Amino acid sequence: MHEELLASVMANPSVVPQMAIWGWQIAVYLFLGGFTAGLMVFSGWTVLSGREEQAPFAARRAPMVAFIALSLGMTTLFLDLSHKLNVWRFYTTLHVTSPMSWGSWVLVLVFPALIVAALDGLPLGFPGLAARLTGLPKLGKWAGGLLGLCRRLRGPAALLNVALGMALGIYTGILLSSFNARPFWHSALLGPLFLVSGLSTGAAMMVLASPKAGERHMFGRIDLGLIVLESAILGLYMSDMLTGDLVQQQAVGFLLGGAGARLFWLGFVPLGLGVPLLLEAAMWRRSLLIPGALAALMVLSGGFLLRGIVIAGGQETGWVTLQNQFNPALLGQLGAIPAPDPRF
Amino acid sequence: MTRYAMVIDTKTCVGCTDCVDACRMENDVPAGLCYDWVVEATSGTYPDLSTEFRSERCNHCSHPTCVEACPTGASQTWNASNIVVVDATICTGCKACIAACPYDARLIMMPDGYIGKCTFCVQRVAKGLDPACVSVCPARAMYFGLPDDPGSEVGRLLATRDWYTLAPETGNQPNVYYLR
Repeated sequence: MHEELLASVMANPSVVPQMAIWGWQIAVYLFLGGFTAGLMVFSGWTVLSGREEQAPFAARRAPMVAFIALSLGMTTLFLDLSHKLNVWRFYTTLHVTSPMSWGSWVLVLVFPALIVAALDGLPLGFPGLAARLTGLPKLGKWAGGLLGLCRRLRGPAALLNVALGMALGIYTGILLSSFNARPFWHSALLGPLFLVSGLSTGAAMMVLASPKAGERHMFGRIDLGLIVLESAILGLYMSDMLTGDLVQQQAVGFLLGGAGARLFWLGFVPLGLGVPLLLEAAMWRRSLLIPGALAALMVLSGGFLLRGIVIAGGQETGWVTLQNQFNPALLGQLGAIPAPDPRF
Repeated sequence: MTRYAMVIDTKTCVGCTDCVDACRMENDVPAGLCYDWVVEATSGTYPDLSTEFRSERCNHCSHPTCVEACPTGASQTWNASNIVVVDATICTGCKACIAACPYDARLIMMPDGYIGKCTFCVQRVAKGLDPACVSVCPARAMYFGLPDDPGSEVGRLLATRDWYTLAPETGNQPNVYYLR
């Protein structure tokens, strides 16, 4: 028998009774980051491969959706910082050993590429908005010039969208996998898993929002391949952990009977992978509007569930387990103790 | 790199937690938080049980994963040594260092939103003094110094006594040693 108890109080809500540092803000950011990455890669690809007419949503509207999604994601990331006034400090250094530092610079590079692509798609993707912009008194001329400039830059911008989208998608996984202190995250497969999941949610968005049946069909087929790939990487991740050292074997227990098992096996696996896989496979020859949208919605919610499960799993696993005898809930009762009788 | 280490004799530690209180006083630790703590570890099978006390804190690792994970450089080593300190003026409160510590010792989220931690009482070390926890230990179970100097007390203890560190398999090369 070996038992380790705390003889003094390890009073810290960040790690006791269990690590609780990153919550919904980070899960939302990781999901929207991957989603943005998927939209960037596919919109860049449709422009570079001359599929603009075949896939008008991906080529012209997706960058704007990605811009809004990433802005939202960065907002939740900002909300998570507990010393918000120092946020600019991310950009006074590049700390080479910190994936978070790399990621913050990738985000800075992503925005210009995304804005050029979004403005390039504006005249044909959102003609009403473009007409309103160019019709503005005084500023309209400038807006027209800007749209023209973005049009001329569309080739390099599309290339950058593909490259930076891949970087953004994989970095979110590498960020977590670099923490060897959290065995559940410590697998190099997390980067590819998040990248493929991000691409899959991007493709699902095209299926969900494209007005053109051909585009929905194409991205439905792409998504089918990505779901298969994502399942394969998940299987590899599990086998990597199960054949790893003791802390890794214990960590993957989070999914196999542990606290995350129910959400993973009854939530993510059927809703995020299984059912959309079957639906997309059934629509191999012909895309159907309602089942396609349903599959896409499931892939999107599955992408978010995956981030939530992984964020929770990493924080539930570690190298140290101490039993804390201190019950912080009892502190609240201190005020309820009656004051000593002044007569004594 | 100057390597500082703390050596704690589990044979003489009585688990009084005076080290924890001294730390609170010296470093003005906010109420309800702590930089160090004491673990009571019991092993064996009844009735053959043995108990030891371990005063634990940041291990000031020679391979500090918290410093590596920090995106802004707020987590840094002091004066070319292994002592890990946090510059509150650079810290964004992203909490990457908390996640990066295998000992869960990068503990404290200060009320102002930046990270606080054990610094081996760097303000005292700079004056040639021992950390507060070491200086108050009534059982004289704690030692502080330069382990690579064979003439130092910690160097001598590590050379002559049986010792262990916490989870060395993490690769972090911790610098808090426990004598058994």
